[in-house]
Amino acid sequence: MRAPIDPEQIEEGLRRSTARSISLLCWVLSPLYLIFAISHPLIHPAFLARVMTPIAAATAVALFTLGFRARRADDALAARAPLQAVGIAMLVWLNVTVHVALSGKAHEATNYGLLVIGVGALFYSVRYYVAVTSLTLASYALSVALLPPHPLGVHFAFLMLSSTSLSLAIFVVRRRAGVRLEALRLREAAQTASLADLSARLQAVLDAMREGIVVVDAEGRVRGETSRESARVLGDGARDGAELAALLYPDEAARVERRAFEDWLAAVFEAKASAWEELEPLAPERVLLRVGAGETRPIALEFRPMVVGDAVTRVVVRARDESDKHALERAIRAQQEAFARKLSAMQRLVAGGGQALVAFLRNAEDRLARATALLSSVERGARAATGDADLEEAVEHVHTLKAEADAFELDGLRDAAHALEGALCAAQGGRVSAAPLVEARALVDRVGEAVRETRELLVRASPVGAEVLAQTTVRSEDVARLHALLSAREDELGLLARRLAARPFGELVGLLPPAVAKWAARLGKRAHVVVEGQDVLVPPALARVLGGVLGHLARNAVAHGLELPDARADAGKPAHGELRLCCEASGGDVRIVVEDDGAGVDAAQRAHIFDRGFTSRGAVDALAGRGVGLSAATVELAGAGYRLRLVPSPVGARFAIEPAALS
Amino acid sequence: MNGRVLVIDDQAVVLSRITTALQGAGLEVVATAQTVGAARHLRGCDLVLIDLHMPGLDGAAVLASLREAAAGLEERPDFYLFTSDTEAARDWQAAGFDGAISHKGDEEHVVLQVLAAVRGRRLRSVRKSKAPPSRR
Repeated sequence: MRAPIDPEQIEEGLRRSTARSISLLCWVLSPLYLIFAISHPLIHPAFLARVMTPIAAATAVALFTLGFRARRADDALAARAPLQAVGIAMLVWLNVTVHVALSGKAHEATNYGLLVIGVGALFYSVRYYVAVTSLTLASYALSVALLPPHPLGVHFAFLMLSSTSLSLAIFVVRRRAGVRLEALRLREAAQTASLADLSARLQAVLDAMREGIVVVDAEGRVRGETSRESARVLGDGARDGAELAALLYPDEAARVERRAFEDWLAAVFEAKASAWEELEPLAPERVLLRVGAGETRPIALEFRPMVVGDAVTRVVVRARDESDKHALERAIRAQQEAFARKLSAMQRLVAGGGQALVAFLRNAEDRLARATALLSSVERGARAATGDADLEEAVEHVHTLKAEADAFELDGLRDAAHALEGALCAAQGGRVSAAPLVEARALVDRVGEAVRETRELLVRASPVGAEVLAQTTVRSEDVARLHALLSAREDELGLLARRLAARPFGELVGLLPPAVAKWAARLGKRAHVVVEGQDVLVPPALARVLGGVLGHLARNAVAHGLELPDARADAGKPAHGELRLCCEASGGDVRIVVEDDGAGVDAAQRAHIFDRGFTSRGAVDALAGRGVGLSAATVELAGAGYRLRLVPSPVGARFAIEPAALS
Repeated sequence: MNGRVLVIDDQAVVLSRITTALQGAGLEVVATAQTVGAARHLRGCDLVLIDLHMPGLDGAAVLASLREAAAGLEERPDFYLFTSDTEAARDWQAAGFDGAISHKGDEEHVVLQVLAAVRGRRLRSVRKSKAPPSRR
């Protein structure tokens, strides 16, 4: 929709247009009146020439002066242009009127006709046109009325009528054309301003996006605005007219990539816009921009078409510097690899029993504590008497710690201990000031931190969690015998015997996570296991049957509870089903909850779920379906003094294993 | 991007590293140090990368025999010179290759070049399918 144009702006434009004519008109009329001034004495009677010559000469001078002053059509002159036009008309009118009055010849009124036509060709203003034309016609009428009649009077009357009609036609046509042209000029100016504004806003948006954004044409050259970031990402050459392929692949070594890109760009502009979906995946996603000798900058690229009709006219290219992301990914990858190596080494140690490492950690903590105490003693000033001896003993402890850490391939701990050993040695013999002691104090903290990290790694790698730290190698027959002899006692001895025979929950469920994933995959399902309370000690009676019981419950959950991925997606659940095994200490015993996020147990089947032979599954396979599992689990748990219950759950099924005494 | 690449190089380390890198970019890779019998891997390949200078082997002869074997295939692969020698990489046409993959020791760079070569091949196929039918 076109924006409305202010009429006053159009009038202003017309005034400017008039102003542009003033100077030219004055330059034409001024010499003419000079000729009149010279010719009057030659062709007119003396009395007429005496009056008309000065008037014509004055008119010539006045017009020359006005033409000189009006040669620059600036704003101030434009405002006065209509009045100047009136002034010119009045000068002409004056010459004509005086000449007619003095000559007494009505046919001299021919000049009135010329003046009327000239006014029509000069004025845009209706008001001034009407005023000047009326004055001229009135003057003519007066001359006809006052002067003696002339044989050609009727002829001149028709001349005036024709002149007036022609003048009116010229005025109307010029004004209409002038108004239209001015409106067009104003619209164009408004559009140009709007485009400039849009262009500035586009530039601001591009700059704010913090990406290199350029637009390329069918020749593969950068056109129009580019974002401020373009120069940083793509180099200083990313300007209007630059060849994008040369910017992205300046190196001879990238000729394969450059050729593929140039071919792609050509194909995009050759094809119809509808082919973009097919061509877009064939665009380069990434480029290694060479920015120096052997140095590259990874740039991610994205392309978007600009379409007119069914043709791609431009392609917008977004280039993102991924140097930071790349460096971060590399650092994370390196850290992950280092951590995986450590974890793997720790898992190998744990698989071998782990007791040696546990013993080492205990010894390391003891050695570090002793070294710290000795260091404190030296710091307090006891050094005079025993300082060097204390430091020597501290060095021995740290040295042993370092050697043991090296044997376990604990590089971080070994290096920290080595640095501490060096600082302690430097402090020996009073060779230097207190600086090595300060350094040693800081390094003690670093070694302590390394020991704690090793502990945490061990616990993390252990299937029984923190309980691994309390384990030592013992003969299971001895433990069983001890339990048989002492577990009935209520004193501390009985408590110790029961605790000794108990097993960490994590140890009893260690095989389930991989097994559940395997069982689920066999049925086209996906599942993972979450274990909580790995280090909670399970009483020996329950520990003996728990592995089998949890196996029954897990198989049932996979076979009956967890849905296929599509069904889970329909229910708004994640594709992977979850089986949670939680063990918590409760009143000197344990309570274990096994729950899944599957379909749950049908209300009608709840009452019979523990009955032997009852199954909710139509077919029997290796996993479930015989209706034996839950029944067998119940019997086994009852034999150990525990019971199995189906407890309410908002999602899926939840079973609880509790001491039977609770019922 | 999907694509199948056959890499023939006499160095196991190069094969191992380039296989990992190309697989990481989503390409199917067949890597072999054996030139004898390599032709059986050609079917379905987009690119064949050949190290021209393998000790005790004539790379040009390997290229010639593979080209001959590929002639019978419906979709013939593109044969690229695989080299770390930038000077040699310029002479790929004279050596009878369709192109050259340079910077053999720089996996990141090699991956980008191989992806570009596969894209270029796909593009040719797309353009061919969209070209107006011949008047003859």
